Amino acid sequence: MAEVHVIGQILKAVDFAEPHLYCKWSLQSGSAWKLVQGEVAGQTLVSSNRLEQASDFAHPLDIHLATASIQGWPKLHVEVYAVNVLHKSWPVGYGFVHIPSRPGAHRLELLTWKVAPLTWWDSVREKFGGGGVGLSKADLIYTGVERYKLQTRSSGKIIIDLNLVFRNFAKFGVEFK
Amino acid sequence: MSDSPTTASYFNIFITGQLEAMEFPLGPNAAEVFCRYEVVYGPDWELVSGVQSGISQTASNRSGYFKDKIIFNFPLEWTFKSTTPFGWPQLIVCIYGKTRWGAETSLGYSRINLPVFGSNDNNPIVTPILCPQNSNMVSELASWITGRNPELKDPKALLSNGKLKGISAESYGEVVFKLATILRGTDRLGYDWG
Amino acid sequence: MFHIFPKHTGVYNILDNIEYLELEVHFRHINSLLKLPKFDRAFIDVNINSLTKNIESFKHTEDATCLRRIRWQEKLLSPSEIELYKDERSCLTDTQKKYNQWLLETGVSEVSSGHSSSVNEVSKRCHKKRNKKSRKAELSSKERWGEIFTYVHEDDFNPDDGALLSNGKKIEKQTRFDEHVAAQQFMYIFAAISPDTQLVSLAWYPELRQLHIYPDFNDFAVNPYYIQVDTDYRHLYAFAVHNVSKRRYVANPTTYLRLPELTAHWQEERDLNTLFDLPPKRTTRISLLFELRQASGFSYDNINVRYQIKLPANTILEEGVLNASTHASSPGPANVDCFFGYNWQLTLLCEEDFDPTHLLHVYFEVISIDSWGRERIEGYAHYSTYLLTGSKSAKLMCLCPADGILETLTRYLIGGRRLFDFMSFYTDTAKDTLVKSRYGCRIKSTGQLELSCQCFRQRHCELLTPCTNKTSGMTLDDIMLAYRESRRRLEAVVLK
Repeated sequence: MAEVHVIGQILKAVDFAEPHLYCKWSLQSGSAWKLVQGEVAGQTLVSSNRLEQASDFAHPLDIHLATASIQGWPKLHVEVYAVNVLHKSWPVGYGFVHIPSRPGAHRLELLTWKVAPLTWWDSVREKFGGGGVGLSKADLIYTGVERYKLQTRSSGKIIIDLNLVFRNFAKFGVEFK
Repeated sequence: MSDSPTTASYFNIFITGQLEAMEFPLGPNAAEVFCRYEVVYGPDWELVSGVQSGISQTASNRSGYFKDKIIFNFPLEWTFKSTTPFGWPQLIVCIYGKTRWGAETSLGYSRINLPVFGSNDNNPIVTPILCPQNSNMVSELASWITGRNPELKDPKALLSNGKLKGISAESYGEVVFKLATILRGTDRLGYDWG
Repeated sequence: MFHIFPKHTGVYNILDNIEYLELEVHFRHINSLLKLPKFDRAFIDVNINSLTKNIESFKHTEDATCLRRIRWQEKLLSPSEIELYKDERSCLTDTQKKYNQWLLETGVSEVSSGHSSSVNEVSKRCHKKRNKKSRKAELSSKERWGEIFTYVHEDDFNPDDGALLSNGKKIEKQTRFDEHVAAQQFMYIFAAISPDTQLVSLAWYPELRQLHIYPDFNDFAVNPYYIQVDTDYRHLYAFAVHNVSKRRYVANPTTYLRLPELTAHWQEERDLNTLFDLPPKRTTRISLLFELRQASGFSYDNINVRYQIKLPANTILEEGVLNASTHASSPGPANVDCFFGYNWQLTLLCEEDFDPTHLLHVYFEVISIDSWGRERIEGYAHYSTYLLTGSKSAKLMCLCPADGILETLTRYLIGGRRLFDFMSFYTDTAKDTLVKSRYGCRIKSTGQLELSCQCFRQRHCELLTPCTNKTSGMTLDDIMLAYRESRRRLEAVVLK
């Protein structure tokens, strides 16, 4: 089996409207992929920046995957949540990106979106804190059927640094460059 | 170790560089700053040479402008040996400052992965400094009176995946590293380092 | 001269009963290393006075050889022991008394008594008899010289205590500070040569079910053990210990020696190493990772992008969808771009006659839906790529047909989309071959889309399409080292 090592960090979140944010991340992949070492999901700490409108996490990622196929290339999913003074959290961004298909150091910019408020009341509630609207079924992002009915708003960006090391792909005839 | 028949399955990395400086946009909240670093690695790794932890000198930028970088130029050098890239070594830096009243307080924590690929000297590694925040008003008051910021009980929690779930931190300042990596033996193990 | 073979202790795990252990000791006095003919007059039968020449027959030197089978804890008495124990008065312990009984029963005493009685009874009358007897005794002592005898556990023999039995002293019980003191059993095999020389020592530990034998079993023809003794003159002996215990087959072999999970684990590891989904022969598998990042500059909000992919000739779609739509996105408060961040993967199989100059086309339609449910077309875009490995990103400018006044009004009030064959607008169809003419189309440009595409491929590595990538690059030395190490590990597991 070929192996992929993902070593990196979720560095920061920029351009979000809310100051206090934390991320929940997970790695989704096809059925031929298997986790060897590390964890495929995690949560960062709540962070805000004193001066800028950004949140720095510096959350480490260290995942070792083994695969029997190049189909189902892994995707990194990130959900960004905002926290208010009353310690209530609500989602303010969903985003996912394929991990790059070349070994090396990459800096990825993950564009996130959040679910648009459906009614006028929702938008008022969102403005005054205490929560916007979230996805009730998380797998809606993953399936692609009739996605156009889902209305979203653009949110911020997440900067992720990934270093990828591949192994044994050349043995099975896979070329990346 | 050199006669071990499994030498074919180890690869070595050699990391060298320095903790160059710290940058606080509005100046540090302390007159003098020093830091303590520790390198943490996975179970398959072995530190062949180099120190696992160290304490830097106490530096300040009092003589210059308050926005100047605080220069450390603290040398860092390690040689590791491992069988797998999992558990790549990470460096935790705990930053402490000495305030004017002489109290020593924590200014934050910072964590980097040691570079996996030979780094470019023109792109230093910049990492934010995270200062844990107090969780309730009482401790906020206490820290304001004593002038001591809250500290993490175990800085290694920065490396874990979910241990810092409820902790709130504020990021202020950056640490600048200049590190370069030299790899040896990865090709023999079939790794495509890119 | 002769090759000295190293002696080492053999440790054996005995599953069976130790009583069935049987050894064969082959002991030989080497008179000479060369086979020389020996001139022996005693056996010549010739008439000296005859006129025939003296025929002296030669006989090859015969080495004195002793071949003896010994069972576990079988007591063989040495000549000195026999001499000692046949006298009742010198028997102190029960064991010695038992030996005395043996000797009296079997009448062994007559063999050696000749030797002793000849010493005691010195009478001229029996001189001849004595001579005969002494000769017999000499013969018998010669015969019994080099005999193998054993010390068993009951004797409490301490190998360090050399002058043990000759004095007939009471042997003190040795105290050992081992845990298994009661259970250990020892046995020593000696040869009755001028100083009694120890040949083999055996130790049996029942708790561990281990037999320690020093020196280990060997083959007399292959690697005999040599003993050199310097007394009056130098003697050379060779001996060998063979294991001739009959193997008994246990009815139910213990299954603990087979480790099913261990074998299964190794097999699984080995299978996993070679498990990879390879494309069928003579095809190349190409995988494309697309990402539609953002859209900007469109007049209406709540836009979604629909795409259609047209594959080049001689390719088969393996996995992925060719038509899909993203979710609807609007600009956020912080920025005017509509973020999509939509990723999809496409896997194709390129056949042999696939022409790498053919392109893969992706057509985009940007559609906006307003709160009344009116759909309006915002723009069309097109992206084409060769199926080569690499990573590209592009900003696609969108365009849509320009509208007259009537169309603009319809679009504003009613919405709807005009039928526009944008696919053939972008790519050549069979119609215009000589000149690509878009004359008469009035187009206006709208916003832009940001797209990135990563492509990598997998080939079945055959001689036809050799893989030029770096392989693991192991040298033969590395392979041999790894093989030896793994063999050692396996032996450690199997022989435990």
